[in-house]
Amino acid sequence: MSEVAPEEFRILVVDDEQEVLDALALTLRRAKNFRAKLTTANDPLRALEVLERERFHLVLADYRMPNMNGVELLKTVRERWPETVRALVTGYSDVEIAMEAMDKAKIHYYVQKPWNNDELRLTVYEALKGGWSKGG
Amino acid sequence: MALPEVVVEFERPEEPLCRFTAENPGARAMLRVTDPTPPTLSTVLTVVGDTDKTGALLRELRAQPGAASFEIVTITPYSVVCKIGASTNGNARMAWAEALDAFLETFGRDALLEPVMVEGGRMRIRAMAVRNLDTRRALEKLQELQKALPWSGFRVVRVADFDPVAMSDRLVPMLDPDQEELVRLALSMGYYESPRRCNLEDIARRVGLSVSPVHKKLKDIEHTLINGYLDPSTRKERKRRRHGVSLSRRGEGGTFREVLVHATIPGAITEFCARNRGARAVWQPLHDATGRGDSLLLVVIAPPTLYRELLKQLEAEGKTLEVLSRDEGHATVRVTGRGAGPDPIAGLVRRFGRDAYLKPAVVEGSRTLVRIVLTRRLPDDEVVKAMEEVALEAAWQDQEVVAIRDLAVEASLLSLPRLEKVTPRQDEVLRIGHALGYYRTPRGCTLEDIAGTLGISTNAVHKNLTAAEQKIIYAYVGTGL
Repeated sequence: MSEVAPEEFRILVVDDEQEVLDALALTLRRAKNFRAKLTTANDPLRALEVLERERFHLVLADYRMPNMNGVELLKTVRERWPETVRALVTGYSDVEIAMEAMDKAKIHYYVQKPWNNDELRLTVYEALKGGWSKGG
Repeated sequence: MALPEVVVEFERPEEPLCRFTAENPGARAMLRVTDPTPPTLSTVLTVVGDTDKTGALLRELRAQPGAASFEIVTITPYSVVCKIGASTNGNARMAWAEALDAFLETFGRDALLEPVMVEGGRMRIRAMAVRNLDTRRALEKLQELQKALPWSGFRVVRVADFDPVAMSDRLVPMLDPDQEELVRLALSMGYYESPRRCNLEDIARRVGLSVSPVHKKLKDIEHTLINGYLDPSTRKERKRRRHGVSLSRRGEGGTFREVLVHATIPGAITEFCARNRGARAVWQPLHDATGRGDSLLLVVIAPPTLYRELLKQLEAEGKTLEVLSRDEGHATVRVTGRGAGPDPIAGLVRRFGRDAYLKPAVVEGSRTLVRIVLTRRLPDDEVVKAMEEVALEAAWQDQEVVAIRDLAVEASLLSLPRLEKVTPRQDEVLRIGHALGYYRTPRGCTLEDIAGTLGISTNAVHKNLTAAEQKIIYAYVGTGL
């Protein structure tokens, strides 16, 4: 990822539960050490449409969603926009999900629900600042 | 009273963590025991290294019959944190759990364990074994351990009386980052071995300088460390001047970094140590990878008349105490209850992630040396700022980040000989040489002058000084081992 000014960071947050989506977005908006333009999508297919139109530095996706789970979404992101940093948020402590996400989507970050607000902000900050994408 | 500090390392090529760190240069693993009670050791494993390669390791660990529970907590591009419940029963134990369990059986489950480090294919355990053992008995127990374990390359790195104040002094860096890097390089190249495995030209070539500045820098380093050895007060002077100095060479993810913080931490433990001259305490919060936990392992080093006073006070504050061991010079206690101690772990986890944790903290007088291990990729100035916030939240006073440094130990340094003490004779020759100005620039005396003063040969002076210098430098660098 090329260097961008903090205000140019763009994050796409994907979760089918509107309340969770709002909470995630609010948490990130309240970050003190970075500012980013947040876009939300409550459906993975809708997220892909948004991704077609706009470049994002980070996609933060829930695991369990209709039509396509978070790993499948992030796998597509990896294939089509490999420079985008991919983070999975999940309430399942199932190791298989984490493994699958590592193997198929080559995720950069894995965040357990319930997330800690400060820790989530730290992770996103690190992802944005580090530009950890491995190019797929 | 003798509380030994034990550092031991060994290897087992087929053990997954050993194999992984041996096969992947730069990869390291750290195991933190959060509950040593059988039949399941509760642990938090942090593996740093390319996460593309970590997946296979995690699958292998999870598939082992001894893995009673396995949960992935965090993944970052350079680290994975898992909670593992490792069975201590039967033949199906995981090899590392077997080794840890055997160590705890040998030295007591109340031993203050530092996180177990696995790197370069070797596993290293460091513990303040809180049972009353003299050095000889501790060595005998290590021999028993060696016989009981099917591990190879067993090496005792350190067995010494545990002295929290000396440890605190040792841990605070005396050298600046460039000096630290140079002395580590010189050590790894064998410059301080006898006979030397390299000369100044070799080192100069590696660092891209000419011989003269390298020679001067190494002399400065040697003088600083020798002065610190002979006159510990110079170390304290240096400590004060070194506020905020970073020794972190990379400041990037993919390595373990240690943040050293001095602070006055209000509470019964600090008040006790400040009030009772000579009394010391070491404490460590027992928490899992989410920062949860309301207990603290506390070692109070003081006579019973004094430590009972502290324990009574803690009980009066509503804490539940479980005395794990005690004798005429110390008590080891598990303190449980809301706000069991000066535990900033919740704040640390929030700011530095779930892979952050506290090593045993040392209380001397009113000051506490807190050591925090991080893997997150944060610039040093942000670490300092976040520590200020943690300290503010926890009501710490006069908080000072003394250093931030890499915990990485070059594989070549792992072959350092056992850390030995300077002998009385070497100490005497060193002190005379120092007093005569041998360690001043330019030198205030020659080897012949020292030999004449002591009535021994120049060769004997040279041998004693070289051996003492070598041990002091090894001891300094070996602190991180």
